[in-house]
Amino acid sequence: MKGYRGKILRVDLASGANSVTPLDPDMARDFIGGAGLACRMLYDMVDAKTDPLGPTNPILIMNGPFCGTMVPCGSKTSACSKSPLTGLWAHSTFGGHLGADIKFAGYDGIMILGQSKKPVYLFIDDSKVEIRDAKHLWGKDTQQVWETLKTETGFKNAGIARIGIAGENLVKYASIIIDHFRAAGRTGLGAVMGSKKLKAIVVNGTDRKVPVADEPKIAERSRQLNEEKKDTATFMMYSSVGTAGYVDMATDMYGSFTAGYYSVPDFSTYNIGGSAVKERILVGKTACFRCPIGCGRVIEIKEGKYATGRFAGPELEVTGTMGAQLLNNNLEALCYANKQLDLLGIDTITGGNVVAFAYYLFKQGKITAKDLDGVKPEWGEIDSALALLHKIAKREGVGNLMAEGSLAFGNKFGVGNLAAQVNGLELAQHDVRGFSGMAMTYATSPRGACHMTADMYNVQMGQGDEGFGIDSQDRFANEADLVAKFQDFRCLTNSAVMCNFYPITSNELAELLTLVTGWTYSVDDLKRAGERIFTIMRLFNLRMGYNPKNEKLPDIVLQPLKGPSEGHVPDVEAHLNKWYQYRGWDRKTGKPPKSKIKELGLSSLQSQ
Amino acid sequence: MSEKKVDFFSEQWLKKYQEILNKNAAYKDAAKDWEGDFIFQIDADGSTVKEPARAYIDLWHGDCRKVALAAPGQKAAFEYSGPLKNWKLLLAGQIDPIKGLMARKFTLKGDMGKVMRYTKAAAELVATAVKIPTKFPDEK
Repeated sequence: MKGYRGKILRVDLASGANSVTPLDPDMARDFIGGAGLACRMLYDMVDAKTDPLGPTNPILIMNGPFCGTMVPCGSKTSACSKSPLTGLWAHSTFGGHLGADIKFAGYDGIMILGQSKKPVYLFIDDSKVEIRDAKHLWGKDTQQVWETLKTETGFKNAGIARIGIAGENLVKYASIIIDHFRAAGRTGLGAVMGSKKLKAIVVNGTDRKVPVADEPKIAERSRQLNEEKKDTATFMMYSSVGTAGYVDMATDMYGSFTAGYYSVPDFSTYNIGGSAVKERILVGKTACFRCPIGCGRVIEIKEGKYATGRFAGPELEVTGTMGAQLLNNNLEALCYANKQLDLLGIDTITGGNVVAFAYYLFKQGKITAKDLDGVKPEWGEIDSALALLHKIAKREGVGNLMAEGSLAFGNKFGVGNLAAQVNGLELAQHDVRGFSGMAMTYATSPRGACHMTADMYNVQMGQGDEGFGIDSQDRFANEADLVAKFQDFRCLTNSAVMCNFYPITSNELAELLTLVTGWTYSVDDLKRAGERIFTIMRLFNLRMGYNPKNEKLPDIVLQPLKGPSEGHVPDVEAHLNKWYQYRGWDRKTGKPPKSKIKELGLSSLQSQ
Repeated sequence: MSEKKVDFFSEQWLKKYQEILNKNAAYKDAAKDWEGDFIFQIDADGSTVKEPARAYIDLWHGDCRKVALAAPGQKAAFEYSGPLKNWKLLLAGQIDPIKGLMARKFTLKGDMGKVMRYTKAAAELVATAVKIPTKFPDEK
């Protein structure tokens, strides 16, 4: 097999055994890698009865065929499992260089099963695999763990995934922090690691020669693509001002970011966006393996109440959740909160949303300071948020309830309907009123209200794809059919696993997959593969008890806003009808028809 | 009675543009800290636009200090260029200047991060151009 190592490392933390199983080439071709291939593999291993935090829920870390090769931005990796937050499909794509290290160690993925009785970390040095004691790491933050493991193992450049105390305490939206503070943030995979008493994974891989079908052409094409893409707006923006560079534009032009879920929508982000970071505190940049963009920020705040020292700077989403959602325009405070979230190992999107929800409920008089253990939040100040985040990470007092997510938190006070979530996952910061396509992105995503399974704000700003027939005409219109097409496209990039920030087209993706794997992929093949992957994620969720009645947006995001979104509110029912009609799925049951399942080569799953 | 149309990117058009822009209070406010000159270019298409048409516009702290036809090779801090059909879409209000970049209908040379900081000003630059009755090169 080209582009793959053909091997999955399986580690059983209960028995301490490890083994290598072969990767099925047909499965690899059909599901490509990353989230798609992981979903196919996990489909057979978990069901509705599987406790996400129990011993029978595996976590699978999968790279893709581009990982470790010359393909630009193609070395991202997916962590996958059943989500403790939603009870549904969980995948979270992360950067850094851990994925490439796994490939260089000789594996396409690492599947971790069972639970250890005591804290451990997994050490992989090529074929040498050890489960090591992690008692000395338990209770430590993600920076302390990272530094300790680099020193202790002697591998200063190893890929290292670790959890903070939020993961240890099974906070249902705990993140996994990777390398230089990249994160598998969404869907609570840090809690799955915590449930296994797995504090960290250290991977040192030395065989950098990943077998590919046509190495000279890949090298040449990769250089050409980088040359062509470097003048595109997104490439330049992410490189110059990081992901948070999008803040100013989206706020001023489109009213789409940051979202006005709980606070006023006309808050100025001028002092906290990526440009402000660049002007005031930026001291460096970081890039994932084989990434020519380098969106990662390194900032330094040397003194003051919110001193961070040298640390990873805020990216786009946290600028929303710890900035605009709290009406906080203090950049130093935002960076400090971002650092705390990373050190504790909490998803910046869900964690920030839960805290903002607490602010909102308190200010609306729906909860009291007593309900918040004496914390009295005020819009614009961040110290209450910091106090609540530490309580959440420790599951201390009200933090124990907030650690269950905003829906459970709201339900406790009879206001779960106000929580900005879908299927238990909190909305990202892209407002459906600014870009209507985000309505179906959130409502029908396999993992709840996530933005990375179809970043329609980009499509409705004009970044379509000719090969897939994605061409937005109006950001306020019902373009639910385009959402479905783009979900299929993103299934491919999330399986390849390629960064969403690299503006690749379907034609280029087909060409690169062909050059790397040696299998011939056309754009039509990709359309079918993308649909197959999206469909298996739906089948996975139906197996978990998915209820299509939950495909709705909270009322709190369906009130018209003034400003650049011009009072537009998407008609969710009309969008759902169009989306289901395009997919050809049953609107009531949420099921794809048997004919479609057969057409996509998934019939064997239906009989299970 | 409708105002007589002026040739796009002619000296007369640019002078009119400078005059209207310097009266635009919204632009003045949005660009009060802006420092940097622009070259706007209509790309050659081999038929209607034989050679690139280029305009130089010097923008400083909310004022338009200078406009001129730009020579080939003339430099500025920023260069915003695209084909005629996309300029027509822009001036018809069918795309905005930032969406134009995102959708690859226009290209930008210069510090993208700085432009991102002034999206309101960019919108006002276009809003000002829309006010000029414009005769495009493909119109008789």
